[in-house]
Order: sequence, then structure tokens, then C-alpha cells
Amino acid sequence: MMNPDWLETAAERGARVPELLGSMFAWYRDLEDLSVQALAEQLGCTEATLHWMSLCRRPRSEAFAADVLQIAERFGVDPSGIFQVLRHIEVTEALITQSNSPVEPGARALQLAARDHEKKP
Amino acid sequence: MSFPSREEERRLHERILERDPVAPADVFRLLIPYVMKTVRMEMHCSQEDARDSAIDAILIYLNEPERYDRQKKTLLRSFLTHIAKMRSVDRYRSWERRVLREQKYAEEFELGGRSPKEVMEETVEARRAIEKFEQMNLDDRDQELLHHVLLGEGSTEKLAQVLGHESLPKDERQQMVKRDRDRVLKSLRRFGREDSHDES
Repeated sequence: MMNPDWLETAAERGARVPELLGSMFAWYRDLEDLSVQALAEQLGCTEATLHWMSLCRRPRSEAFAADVLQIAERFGVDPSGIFQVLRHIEVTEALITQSNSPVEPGARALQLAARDHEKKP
Repeated sequence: MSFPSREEERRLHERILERDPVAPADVFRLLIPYVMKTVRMEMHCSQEDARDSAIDAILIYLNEPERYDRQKKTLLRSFLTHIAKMRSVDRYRSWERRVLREQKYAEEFELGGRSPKEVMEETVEARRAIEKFEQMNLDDRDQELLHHVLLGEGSTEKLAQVLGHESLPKDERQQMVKRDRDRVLKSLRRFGREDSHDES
């Protein structure tokens, strides 16, 4: 995957655009306290490939699996790594939404436990 | 450097409108080299400015792709270059305003500031004044009182606190403060007169 001199800057700027996948990667890195390099290693790709994927559109909820597979195939990355990152972000988003609503604490605890279980290797 | 054909650009724009997840990365890959090169050549700006303006242009387009009207027969890369040029102008104006602001501040600072010579003279005078006050042999309380008076402290209550008279009845407190204040100032005047005789 080519690595032009503008790529890193474009990926950094794209991380501030909620519609782009880079914003989700940035959020995940923030949650998990990961460097760009560490996330690239987790996804099994180079930093340049991670930057290219960051410039893709965030997968549509109605075509989530197909979009993730398309991105993974295009950049030669194992889709399971992307699924894991995006699922983690989705659960976090849902928990943030629910924490602002009167959901039963028991149900929320179950979701948190499920998320923690997913995090274990 | 090769650029996409009109047909490739048309298809790329359609993919953006269809929300194809990989299409934005393709817009960057296929069009940013042309936009950067053109902005740099025509706006005579730096490589970094051309890069930032080109990135801005693509992000603006991705945010509202409907603003690109294919019916006007304009190429997508020309549309993006136009936005990037405007961003470059904005950047230049912003930089110009900042420079003017900094120049104005620097001029005001230079005009309002004192020369090193003036600062040094004042420091020497202040040191001499302190040495002279020390020769007055005032006790700690009077020195503290003189310090407050010279700094312009006019509150009887504050000076009473300095002198330790705050517990006295009001009339008596005012009287004591006035007495001590007058006494210290009188000493100062006397010392000043003696000092000027010494120097003459």
C-alpha cells in the first residue's frame, strides 16, 4: 500500500469527521490507550494501511457486515479485527446513551460484563 | 502523474452519493495529487498549505457531496481545486491578520516599554532609597507602617492592624494611627533634609 506524504495528515484530519472510519479508530485508541502503531498491529496491518482505512466511510448500520467486508477486502486486512473494534465502539456508544436514560441497573451491568468479557483475549 | 478520466470521476461521485464505504479513500487517492499540485502552482503557496487546503476541500465535499453539480459539466477535480484555492486564500488572510496583530502588539510594547538604561537607573535609585531607609533605624513596626503609607495605603483600619491598634475603641484607634503615621512621616522628612545637607 503506497504511503504518500499527505496520507498521515489526511487521516488525522479525517479522525475529526464523525462520518469517517478514522473517527471510530481514534475513539477506540482513546478508550484503549493505544498508539497508531499499536492499533495497526492489533488489526494486523501497517500504519499506512490503517491511515487508508481511516479515510473510508463509517459502515452503514443497514449494511454493516457488507461494508466492513468491503473495506477489509480492499485493504487486505482480516475483517474480524475491524468487527471487534467497531463492536466495542458500538457497545460503548449504546452504554453512553443508556446511562442518560432510566434503564434498569441490572441490565446495564450485564452489558458491561459482556463488554469486559469481549475485551479478554 | 495520471488523473482519472471524466467517466471515472463521474462514477466516483456516484459512489460517494451511494455512500460506498471505500469511495472517500478513493477520492483522496485519485484527486488529491492534482488538487495539491494545481493549488501550489496557481496560488504560489507552500507544499504544506497546498496539502492542508486540498484536504479541507475534500472533507468539505464529502460532507455535502450534493453541492457538486455534474450538470454544469465541471470536472470533480476542478470543483475541488476551486474550493481548495478559496481555502488557501482564507489561510493567507488569516495568516496576514495574525502577522498584523503581532506587529501592532510589538510596536505598542516597544513604545510603552522603558529602555534598559531607564530600568537600570530606577533600580539603582531604589537600592539607594532602601539603604537610606535602613539608616533611619526604624523599628519593624514603623518600617511596616512606612511601607504601607508609601504604597498609598489610606485606610485607618488597615494601618491600625499594621500597628497592632485594631483592638482599641474607634476614636482612640484613629488617634493612635494618626499619631504614629505623623511621627514616621516627620522622621522621614527630617531624614530627607539631613541627607540633602550631607550631599551638598
